[in-house]
Amino acid sequence: MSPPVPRAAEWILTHLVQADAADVIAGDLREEFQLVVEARGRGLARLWYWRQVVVAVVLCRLRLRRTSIAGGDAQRLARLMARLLPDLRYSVRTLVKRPAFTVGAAGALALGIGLTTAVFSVTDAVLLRPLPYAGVNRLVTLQQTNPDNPDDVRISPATYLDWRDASHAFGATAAVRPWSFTFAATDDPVIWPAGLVSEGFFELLGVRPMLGRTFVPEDYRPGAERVVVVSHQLWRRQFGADPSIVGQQLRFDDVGAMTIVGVMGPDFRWLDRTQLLWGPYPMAEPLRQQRAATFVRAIARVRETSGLDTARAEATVLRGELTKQHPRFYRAIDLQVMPIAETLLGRVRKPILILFAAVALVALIACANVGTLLVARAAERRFEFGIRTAIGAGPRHLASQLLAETATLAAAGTAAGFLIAVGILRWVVVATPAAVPRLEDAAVNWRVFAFSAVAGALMTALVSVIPAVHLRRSDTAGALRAPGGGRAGGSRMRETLVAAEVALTVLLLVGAGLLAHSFLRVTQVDLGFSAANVAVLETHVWSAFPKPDQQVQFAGDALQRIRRLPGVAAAGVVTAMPFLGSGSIEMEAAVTGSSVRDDGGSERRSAWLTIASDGYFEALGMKLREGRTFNASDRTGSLPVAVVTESFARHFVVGNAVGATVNVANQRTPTTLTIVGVVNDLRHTALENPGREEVFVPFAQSPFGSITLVARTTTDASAVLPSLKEAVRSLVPAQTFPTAATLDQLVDVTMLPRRFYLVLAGALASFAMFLATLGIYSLTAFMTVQRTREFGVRMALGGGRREILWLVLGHGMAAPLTGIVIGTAAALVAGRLLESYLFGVTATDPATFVAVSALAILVAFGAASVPALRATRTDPILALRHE
Amino acid sequence: MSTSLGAFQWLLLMAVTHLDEDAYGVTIHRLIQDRTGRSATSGAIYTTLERLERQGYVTSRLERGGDDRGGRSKRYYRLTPTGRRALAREHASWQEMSRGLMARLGKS
Repeated sequence: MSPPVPRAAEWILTHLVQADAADVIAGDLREEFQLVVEARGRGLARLWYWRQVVVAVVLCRLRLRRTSIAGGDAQRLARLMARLLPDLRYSVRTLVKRPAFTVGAAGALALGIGLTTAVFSVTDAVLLRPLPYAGVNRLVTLQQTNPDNPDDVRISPATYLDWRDASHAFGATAAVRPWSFTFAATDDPVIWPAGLVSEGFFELLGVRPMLGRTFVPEDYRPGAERVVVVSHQLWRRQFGADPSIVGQQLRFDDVGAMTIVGVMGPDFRWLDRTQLLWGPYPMAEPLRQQRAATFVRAIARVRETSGLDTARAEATVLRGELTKQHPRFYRAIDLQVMPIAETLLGRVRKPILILFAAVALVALIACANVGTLLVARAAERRFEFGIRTAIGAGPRHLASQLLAETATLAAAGTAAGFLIAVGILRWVVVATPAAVPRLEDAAVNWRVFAFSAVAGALMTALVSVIPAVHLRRSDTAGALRAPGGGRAGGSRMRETLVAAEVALTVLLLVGAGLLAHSFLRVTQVDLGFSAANVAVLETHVWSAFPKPDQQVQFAGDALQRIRRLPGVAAAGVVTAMPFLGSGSIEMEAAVTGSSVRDDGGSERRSAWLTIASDGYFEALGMKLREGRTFNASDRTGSLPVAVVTESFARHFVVGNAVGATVNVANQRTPTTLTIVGVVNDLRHTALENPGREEVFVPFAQSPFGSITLVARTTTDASAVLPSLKEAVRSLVPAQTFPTAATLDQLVDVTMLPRRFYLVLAGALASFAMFLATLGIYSLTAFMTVQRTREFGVRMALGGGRREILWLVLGHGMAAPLTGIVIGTAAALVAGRLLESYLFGVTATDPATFVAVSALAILVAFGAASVPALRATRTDPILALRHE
Repeated sequence: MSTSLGAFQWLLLMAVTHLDEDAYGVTIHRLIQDRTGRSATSGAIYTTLERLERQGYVTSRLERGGDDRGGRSKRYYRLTPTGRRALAREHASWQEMSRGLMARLGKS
């Protein structure tokens, strides 16, 4: 094994230099490193490697015009460092002498810089960087509102085709259908999210492939060779960035062989960022029949000659006409034309900006805090400065010394802050819910590095101004005459800073408190099922069992095997699994019949239709309100039956639900169903969305190829998952499972955004509170030290300890109390920003405000009472000895 | 146009010519070091060759690297006809200018 290159250096190279250049240079360096190790030994070789990296980064980043062979720049840098070294050494020595102060101040700066840098990196990646499409301002998405799921804006192929044909405002349009391919080259088949794209999709976005080509009209003809374009990500991950990949065949389990014709560049991402490859989607005429199912995403390029308004006006007209022709599909929806940046980033802009503001507040608190510490320290050193002035040091000298120390502090803080940012970023990218687009691009790059450097410099400037101003005001010569005596200047400034700190902290605490309260409310929601100890396995058996009777047979066999497994208490299959996301097959059916309640309109009413087997309701732990659930007697040929939810029974059925018959129209179900049971409502998509009107039909009476197996277990559900998979694979070898999880995990996923915001807000607020506590403590402590003599006099004149205690506390609490009042008032206004993220609480939730104020008062009291108690122990003799 | 190139650029063009099919970062660096005793950095070689490519003197192709490179790609360079002509012209003028130079240099 050859010696490894320095990892940190290679990391810097590959992260600070443009990817393609970094790859080649890192390769060259790796190869040459071995030769250098042989020639000069490992230590020198490592040094050589670092030098190579530094020069490469400088040259590639700055693209220097001149090319120097030797590292002349590095030598100049070394000379400069040598000149500055004595000054730095002095600063470091002074700082090391006061470790508590140094760690506190540098740590506060580091956290401030780290937080802002990490959030900047996210903001930069998600919001600031331009979208990788040509002429992005004229790109729009064509979408419709969806009353049941605001996040789903897809339209049906028929809507797309009508829109395309009716519009004059668009120069070009394209549609994408989300798809997936099962790649079975390895033992464990994987499912790749893909997109089927209509003709002209890539041209419309103005993107070119990095290798090969995209699709040509011939690819869309019937009987054409089947081709795909792969993403850069897939090309690197799966094919080892093989430059000769174009022309090779990929074997898929479900669709057979496809030829790779192109590889997209690293920057290209489609709106659906998970898609790894794309195939042609011929928008043929038969698709005009597909009006109900909304599964395509449409985009268009607005002509130079017409604007967004024209396109929107056209959409309104089109919607009116479509509603006349097909009232059932278009009555409740709206057709929208949305700029592509708005589609992608509209929903995340506000939370990110709020986050940025919160983090900036925390950084300001950190500055204020370090400023207070420095003022206190400068005041403590009045005697030292007095002596230095007396022996000839000018004010400029003293100020520059203070600045040097602050700069050293800030440099340490910035360096540590940068590392903190790297850490936070790693956590954020992993922990953030997938809903934030482009977050995966958030990385520590040179822009982020530059930002942290600038933030560090700004904070240093802010922080050093405070003691420098203070130093100018105070009388250095007077300090010599009465050491430790008199009230030092700057106390008004310190009080203002502390009040501001506390106000900002209260603001953040209220935000975090409101989110925490909402979180609590959400977790108390009744799901309609019990999520603990349930294993969930999604699978598709269309290719293995295309015929309905085969599907019934398969489900029966699989359930039989699963129910025999140790640890399984109940099991069933279902099409629309709660909280499964895209794997849940949502079907809708029109409901009519003599016992169906008339809602006053002529339209047929519709409900959700779910296919479920016997054992499903038991596996979910749902409650039976009336009648029975399904059993083995509900099979093909027997009386068509249904189980309905309470909402359905209440809203649809006149009189007693059990025994009533309803007509449910959907291609897959028999029309007339007899209701045999009523179960409780259950929540399907999010804890916040209420239960729905749902009809369950027995699997054996309307079989389906896409199902989810659900098993209630007596032990940990995740431990049973492998044997569930085995049971299915014993019937269908090498079967794939898009989802294999516990129901707890699925429910948790929908809580992720909430939990994530809560953790973020909580962390920020705690950090702010820590800083504010420090600020209150140092303010009170400093004041106590200054007034030691006064306390001595008071005690000598017979003043009690209690009197002193209240004196100090009263003085120490004035600023924090002002801060709490201001902060609460500000939170009453700013809380509105959070309104859309709250659940079950209002933005002015009294409980939260009271709790936060109480907490803030308690903490302020605690911080101030430590020095206050110390003051009561003042020894009057000692305090007055100097008089 | 050829006069705008500096000494390091000429060195690189010469190295690429000498190495023929095998010209990439490491071999180019080795050749320059072996023949001139001067050490160049990989970053300098890469950025300079990139500029020479933009100016049309060389072309490059990307290949997958072996295990000795940790699988990282490898960029091979070749002289373009423009590069070949420019180098030939420059070489001829150097030869012209350096005729009899050694004799004079040796004298002083």
